[in-house]
Amino acid sequence: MSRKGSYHRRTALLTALALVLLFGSALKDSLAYFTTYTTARGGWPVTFGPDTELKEEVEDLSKTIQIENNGDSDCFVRVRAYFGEGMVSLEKVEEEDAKDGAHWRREGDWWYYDQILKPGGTTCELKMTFAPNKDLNTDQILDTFHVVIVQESAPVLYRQNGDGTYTPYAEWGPAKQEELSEEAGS
Amino acid sequence: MKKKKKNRSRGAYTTGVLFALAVLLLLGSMAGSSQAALTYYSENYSATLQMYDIGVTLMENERDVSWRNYAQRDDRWDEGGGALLSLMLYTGQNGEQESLQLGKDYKEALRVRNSGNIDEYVRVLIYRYWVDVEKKADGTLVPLEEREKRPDISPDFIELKPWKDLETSGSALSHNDWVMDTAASTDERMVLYYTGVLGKGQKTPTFVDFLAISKDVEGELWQIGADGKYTYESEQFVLEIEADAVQTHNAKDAIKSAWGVDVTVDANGTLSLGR
Repeated sequence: MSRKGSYHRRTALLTALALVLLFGSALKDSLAYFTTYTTARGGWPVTFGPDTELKEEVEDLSKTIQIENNGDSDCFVRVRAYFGEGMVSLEKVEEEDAKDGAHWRREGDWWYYDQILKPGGTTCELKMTFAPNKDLNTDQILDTFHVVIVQESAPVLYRQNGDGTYTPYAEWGPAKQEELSEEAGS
Repeated sequence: MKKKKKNRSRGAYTTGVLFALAVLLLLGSMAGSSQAALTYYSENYSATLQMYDIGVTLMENERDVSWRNYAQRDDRWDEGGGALLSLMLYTGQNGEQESLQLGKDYKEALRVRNSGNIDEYVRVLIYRYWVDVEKKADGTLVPLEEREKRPDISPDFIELKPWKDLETSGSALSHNDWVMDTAASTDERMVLYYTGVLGKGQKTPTFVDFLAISKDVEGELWQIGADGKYTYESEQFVLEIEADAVQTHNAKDAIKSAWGVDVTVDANGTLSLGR
């Protein structure tokens, strides 16, 4: 074998080695792609249904009513009074501590508080004063004065107005009747 | 004799040049594997090494909430965040917490940002589910990942818009250049692909705009107890998002390898699902 042939073979071998190394290292690149990922997670409790408490004070022929929201979610509330119409009639209804205008409004037999009741919040006081019927006097009525207050609460729902704003409302059908007051007058 | 010596000398020279070339090619390929480009700047031979790194960031209402970026060193990643929806409800100065309202659309602008320095394709996997509200003995909440899942409560009550509206109206499931992979999506999981190339530093359009908890969930969970009155339970909804990114170079194979899906990439780089 000639020396010239040996040089050529060595050259060819070195070239081949270089190519193998080159493509071998490139092969790794072609199989390893640049990728990455990231994750995030979160959530909030959803409390189903409101939890409200009726507070009332009785004085003579009047009842002062206030409702407190003890739950974790906003709600609307409403009240109504049941009483023997042969004995008394509802003489007047007034708000005792309304600081920013009247919030109780009457629709049919129910009185609705028009503000969203926040958790821990209370309504302003609603004072219902009753009057004895014509042929009875107050002293006679006091022993048998019996007015039952029923209050209901409903979660706050939101109706889209179509312009990016929302109107809060309540559905009273499935509303929860929180308390039935049966305290008699003193 | 002189001619033979000259030939030998030329052969050795050639061998030397080829060997040097081989070494250069080898070193060059090694530099290539770390994706480095050497750029000569001045007569002083100062050089800048430009690293090519991939990175992805999940954004919620224009705020970075989670990210993972290659940190220009071997297998080192800059990663952080991970909390989603933390500002969804208002928290007052004294810690008073706004309660979640059913049926209300909460702004939840979700998008992906390319926080690396190479172009990339991105997709997101969105998981929606319910868990029990569990507390420890000290009154603090058990971490989300340790809570009991509630598969009996439908993820559909966790409404992501506009996808919910698109499904309801029967429209094509695409929004802002994001398309839903319906074959890979389930009630609990949504898989969305961004069809464009996300350039370095760029943000995608939003893939979700609003989140709402349907008021229908209340009707599902209200019950009449033994006392004949309504009872109710508290549950927690969870939203979990994974944002994935992959290089655009050799995209079809890269996506197949990384995500296991077949895609088609047209001449403009627009990605579509399927072969």
